[in-house]
Amino acid sequence: MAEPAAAETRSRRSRSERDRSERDRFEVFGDRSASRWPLVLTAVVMAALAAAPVWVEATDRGYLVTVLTRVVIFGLAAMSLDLVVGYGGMVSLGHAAFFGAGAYTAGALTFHSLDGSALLGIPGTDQALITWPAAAVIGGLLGVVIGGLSLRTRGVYFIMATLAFNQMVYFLFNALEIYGGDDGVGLFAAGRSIGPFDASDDLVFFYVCFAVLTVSVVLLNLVVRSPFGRVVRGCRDNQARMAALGYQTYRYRLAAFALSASITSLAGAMAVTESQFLSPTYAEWSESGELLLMVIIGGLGSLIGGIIGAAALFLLEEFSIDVTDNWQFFVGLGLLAVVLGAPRGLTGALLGRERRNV
Amino acid sequence: MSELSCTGLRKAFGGLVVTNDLALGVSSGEVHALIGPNGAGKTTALAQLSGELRPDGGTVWLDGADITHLSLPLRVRAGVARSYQISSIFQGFTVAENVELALQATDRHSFRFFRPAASNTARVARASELLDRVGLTAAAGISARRLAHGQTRQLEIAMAMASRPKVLLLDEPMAGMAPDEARRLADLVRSLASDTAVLLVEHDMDIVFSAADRVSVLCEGALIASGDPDKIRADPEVRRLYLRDDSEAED
Ligand SMILES: Nc1ncnc2c1ncn2[C@@H]1O[C@H](COP(=O)(O)OP(=O)(O)OP(=O)(O)O)[C@@H](O)[C@H]1O
Ligand SMILES: [Mg+2]
Repeated sequence: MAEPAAAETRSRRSRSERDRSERDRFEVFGDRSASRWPLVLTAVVMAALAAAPVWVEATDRGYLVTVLTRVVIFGLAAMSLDLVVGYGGMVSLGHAAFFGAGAYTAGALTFHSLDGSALLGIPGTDQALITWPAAAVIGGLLGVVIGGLSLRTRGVYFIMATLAFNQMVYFLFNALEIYGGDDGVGLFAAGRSIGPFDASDDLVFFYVCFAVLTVSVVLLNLVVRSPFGRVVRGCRDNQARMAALGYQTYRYRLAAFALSASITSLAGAMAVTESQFLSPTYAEWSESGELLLMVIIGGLGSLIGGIIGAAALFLLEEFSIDVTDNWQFFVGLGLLAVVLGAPRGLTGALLGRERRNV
Repeated sequence: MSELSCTGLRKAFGGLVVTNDLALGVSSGEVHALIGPNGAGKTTALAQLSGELRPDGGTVWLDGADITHLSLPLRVRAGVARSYQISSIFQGFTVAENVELALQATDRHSFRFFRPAASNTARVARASELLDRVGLTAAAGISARRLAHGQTRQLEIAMAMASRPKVLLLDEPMAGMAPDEARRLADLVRSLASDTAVLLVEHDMDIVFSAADRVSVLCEGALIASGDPDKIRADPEVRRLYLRDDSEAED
């Protein structure tokens, strides 16, 4: 009787010794959540993005500015998706519905201003200071509806629910004959007016979009560190326990979902202003998959990963499309490499796995 | 002075009756131990008291009010907290952040978006005080994922204490802890009982008989004995039950 007990004490002691050395090892890194490195990486990426158009212009590749603008716009959408997937643990395969809703809000307002007709009694406008915030509001409301219903399900059913809503929204836009049905409609006659000045110039428009992105990066980094952000992350880790601590988890997850939907919708509006073309392809479910791809390749739960992922995808497309039409093959290869070898994506590969952004 | 109790509580899983007409109460100032063989229904009873599991019948009372249909989060806010037999903590957070998250749950709401959570110095200080009480100060800054099993038990208790509950339901809190830590926490549980009602599920009879003011014995979902520790120790049916349990454990 005494022997096993002694052995147990021994093994327990050696275990606690092991724990202590383990702890020391991790104390070298310090408190992981207080790590500054993710923010340093964020600043570096944003600075590089700010300088990129100047550099491509200087090297006579000005046509790349529009590609960079798309990196900014889709990076914004992917970053807001990261709030839901990476921080909230809610895998949404329906974010293109919000992207499309933003596109149709801004696109429809612009269409009616060109047309001179009214939209539900409201006159149209191509003023981005109106169309973009309007898109953010509509997207947020749609997020409350879609999230409110989808969050009543769990796991794979949640994914399916968001996908189902995505399809419904897509077919709704397809049915809008006034905006060209599935062909869409060009809005080329509209300018890109932003407040008092005209952003028709691609370089100017890039910096307008970049300013929106910068504000969003700052706000979202504050949000994930806030008490609200902690609750959302707690729900990702252990929702049942959150309820047992007294949190009414549903409303916090829904708020995070709606915030993300709102920002994605804003990005959709920016995309229409950029392309000056409105069509249901913005809301196609494969677009949801592409946003998810950007977040995963860039690194879940880092915010900046969405932007890195968007840059990686667009630049890969841009440079490999000359070499091969099958550039998507390399995207697949890259995704496999991340999923198998670098679970925290490019961000994790750059920072090391322990240094997460909160 | 507060009191949590239940009357006529019933729960069955399929044909298996796990809680059978259970009446049980715990008031502040006492540690009430709930003991019984494996599978007796102790955890299930706790889950119904805490609000995680809806009973098939019966009533749960808190300070004279019927809280049977109060949801889990609202019941916690009303003052009933629990710890889990199987540690349930937040792996992606540091040890201190786990406690801070438990403390933050007592705020009226958490719709605060811009100030960093870590800048709430009062909360950070209270978290480190709680970690000190359960003996986890040295581990405060590390990821909860790195904790040894016994340490996760200590963290569980710190989190359960965070809301300053009126009633604390502890499900085998010391299981898997090093003996000296277990003794230390038994003392802590004892000291909590001065202003908290503690319902303690525990297998270690030394701890039960030294820490509890009252002991109830559950068997196949029903109470077979209840009373002060000396009375329970002498109860022939309890002795028979535990002797049988021991002899089963031998082979
Ligand atoms: N969700 C469930 N569905 C079906 N049966 C369950 C469920 N939860 C518990 N049971 C059964 O109910 C009985 C009582 O379980 P419970 O966990 O309450 O026992 P316990 O007294 O806490 O045991 P232990 O000392 O092992 O922790 C067991 O036979 C168990 O298998
Ligand atoms: Mg149990």
